[in-house]
Amino acid sequence: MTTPLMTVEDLSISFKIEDRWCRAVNGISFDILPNETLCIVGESGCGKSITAMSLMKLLPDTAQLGGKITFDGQDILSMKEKELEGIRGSRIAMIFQEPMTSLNPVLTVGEQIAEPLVLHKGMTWSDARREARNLLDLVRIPDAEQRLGQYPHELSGGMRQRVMIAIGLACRPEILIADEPTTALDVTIQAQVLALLDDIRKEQGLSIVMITHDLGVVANVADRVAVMYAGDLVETAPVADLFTAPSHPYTQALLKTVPRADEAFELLPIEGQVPPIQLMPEGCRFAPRCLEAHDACEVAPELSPGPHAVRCWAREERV
Amino acid sequence: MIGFITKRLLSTIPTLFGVLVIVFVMIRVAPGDPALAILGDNASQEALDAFRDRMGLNDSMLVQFGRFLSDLAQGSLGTSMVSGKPVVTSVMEVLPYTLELALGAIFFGIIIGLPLGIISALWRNGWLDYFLRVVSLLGLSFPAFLTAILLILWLSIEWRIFPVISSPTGGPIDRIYNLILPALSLGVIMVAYIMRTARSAMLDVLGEDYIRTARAKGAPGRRLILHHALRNALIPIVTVVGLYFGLLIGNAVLTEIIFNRPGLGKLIVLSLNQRDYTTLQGLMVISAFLIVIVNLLTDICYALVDPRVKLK
Amino acid sequence: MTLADTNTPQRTRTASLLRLARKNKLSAFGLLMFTLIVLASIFAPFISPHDPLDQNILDRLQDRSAEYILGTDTFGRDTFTRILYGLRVSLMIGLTSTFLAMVLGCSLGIIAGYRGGWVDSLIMRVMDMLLAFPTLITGLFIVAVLGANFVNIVLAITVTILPKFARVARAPTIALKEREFVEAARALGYSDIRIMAVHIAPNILGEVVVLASLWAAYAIRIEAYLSFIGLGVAPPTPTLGTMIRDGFNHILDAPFVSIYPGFAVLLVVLSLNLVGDGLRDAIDPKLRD
Repeated sequence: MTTPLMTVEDLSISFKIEDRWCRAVNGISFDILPNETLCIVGESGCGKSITAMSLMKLLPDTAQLGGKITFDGQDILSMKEKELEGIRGSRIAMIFQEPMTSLNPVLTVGEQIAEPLVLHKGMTWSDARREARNLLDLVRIPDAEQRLGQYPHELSGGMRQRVMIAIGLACRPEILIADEPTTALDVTIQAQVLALLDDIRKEQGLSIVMITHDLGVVANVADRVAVMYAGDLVETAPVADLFTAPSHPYTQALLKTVPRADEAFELLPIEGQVPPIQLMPEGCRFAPRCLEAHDACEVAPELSPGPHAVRCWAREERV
Repeated sequence: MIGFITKRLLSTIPTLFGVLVIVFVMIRVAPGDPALAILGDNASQEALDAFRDRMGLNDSMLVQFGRFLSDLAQGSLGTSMVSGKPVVTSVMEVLPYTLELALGAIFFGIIIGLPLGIISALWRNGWLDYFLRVVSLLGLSFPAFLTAILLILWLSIEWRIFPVISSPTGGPIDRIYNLILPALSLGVIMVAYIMRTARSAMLDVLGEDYIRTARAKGAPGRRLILHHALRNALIPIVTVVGLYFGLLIGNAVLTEIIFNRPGLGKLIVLSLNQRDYTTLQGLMVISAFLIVIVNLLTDICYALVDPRVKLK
Repeated sequence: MTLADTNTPQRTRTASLLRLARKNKLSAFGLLMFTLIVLASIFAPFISPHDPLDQNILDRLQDRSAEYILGTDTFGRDTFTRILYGLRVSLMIGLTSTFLAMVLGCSLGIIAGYRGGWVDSLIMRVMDMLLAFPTLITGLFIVAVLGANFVNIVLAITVTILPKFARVARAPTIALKEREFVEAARALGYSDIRIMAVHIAPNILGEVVVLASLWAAYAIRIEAYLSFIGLGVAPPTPTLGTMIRDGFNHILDAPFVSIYPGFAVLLVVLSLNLVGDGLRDAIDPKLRD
């Protein structure tokens, strides 16, 4: 078994809501292996995005973090801001959901791509700009030279997301965190951007942590999948296992919401909604929406061991 | 650029024309006879008639307005009823003093208000922020004459750093030295406005996605604030400076009176006291035009600060 | 939706304004301060033993004492008393002109927004013309030309701040006229005037009242400026601006003569700014300047 690049142990994230600490992420653990794409899936409000942000400790000070995130032998969560600045954008990079608002409107594309190179690699601005041109080629933006001098509002959404990717890749990071990178894009552009990310991962040998709510995306790019529900990690599995043998009732329900070519069955939306974090149920957090819930579910189950891990009493009984 | 400026200036012509009509009509329908007011109650009938004739006051209003416009087209605002001096000349003589005062005030507003506003935003809801917010509210409540009086008392009389009377003569150093106190006094309100705007603009900007992107890049705090955030926060600050320029010119009148400085303010008061209606009329027209120019400059500044704004 | 419902948004908003005022400590403090100032000026004769016009040349230019709590001016008149009476003038002129500007400006703004088309263009063009002058200069010009008396000063200040109200009223009117309850009222055949007065005006009242408190502060300051320049209500009526002006001649030997009335202006203006500022942030953070 390969040694993981990053290990997340018992990560919890809490926010203060009306004088009460509410756990938005409830003690989750997972590994990020070298050169893999790990997809974190779940409905919105499940804590995927804040989990992603916490991987480089980008959350605002109002968030209380617990647990341990080990990267290169060091705990990210106990690092000082100065040390974090050295890692962010250089060894771990992140791209965001909204390409429209994630680029600074008053700075040129060239400057925004060159910035991490100047910050981390000690390059001069002119060298960094030359490298930025190569990065635009890498993310397959035509007329790179001309684009460098343009501002974000002069680019289309797909282009901007490519620029974001170029920024993320600038310093050849070991991990690229992509938070719903294609959600805001047109379907055709989505496919292109996903293909691009996958190609780059193979070429450069980096690991991608992809946050998404779209199982189509998961099927396309994932090596392994982690399913989150209401701040809990409910199931992790290699992508093939997850689609063929989903074990958690939530994963099963989630899969039923996606149209599939090979099976003709009706699409079933999941009844109910993810509870808001100040109103999390005791015990298994999915129980109120679970068709298989029973008495045992009043106590929260543990995640089972092994590569295909599930957090459900029903699964325990089955095994 | 030149096309934009021409277009903008042309588009303000209807407004400026309306301004001219208002000013013109108001002066003509005003109670009181300017001839009598200027020459005094003891003036002979002949002197009064001669004066009215010379000033064209006997013609119909329409004729007078036509003459006013044709003069204006030639760049003239008539001659003073009292001194006989061309109005444009006397206004242009003092306008630079008022402008340097206003610019000085904006300068102080920016160098003091901007950092304080940023500090306030960064320490949001902390005691320092709370304190600075009260200070800014106090600053914009200060009547222009009170700031001037207090500054004179402290800096001129108590500490003897600056002269009580600001006479903008002599070399550039002297001129700037004489400008500091009045500009600071006029600038207090600008400090307050810029502080408040900078605070709220920074708060808005710091919550933006691109700031998160910059953090994710590993940009250190100082660069985050001064480079990524501030550039964007400047946009509303430019608006505020442009917006309050009119207020500044108005307040400058008071500052000039107190510091006994030449400028529009003293000229206004002088023409008021002398019932010099032509000068007053010219002052109104020029000050309205000044605001038009400032609005234009504000738009140009926008385009400089914000690449999304195109001058069309 | 029944027509009876149409007023509820407004009523709840007014109620919430009061609640906000109570919650926002600075606003509450400003309100208290302003109320005290108003009461003090109304009950001036009962508060001060002096007459604002009584001259005691022997006691001229005195600093604070038990007898003259804020000292005396060039003619030995009691500064404190004169400030109280001066505040009366300031408040009367400031509040009257703000009220007039609010009523007229909002009416014009609502009509412009509701009618649209050439009516809108005409009204807003005229407002633009009024805004084309540097502030204070408009008022100064009007008073200078028409003569300095109570009515003309009120008129001058009204004209100065009226366009601001028109602008503030116009924008929400345009939004409101598309709302279903206005369309329902129109379908029921109510007249335009009734719709504007009953269905639109109350809904923009909240914002307008908050801004009115800020612009009243402004109006009071303009009055002080005008009288400082010599365009105030005629003497012997004491006005704060005139007192400051007169006292300024003694800045070297008796600075307090102009400073105390200066602080009186500051306190009124500050109290109104405190009220309006807190409320404005509370009702709409977007209105922050």
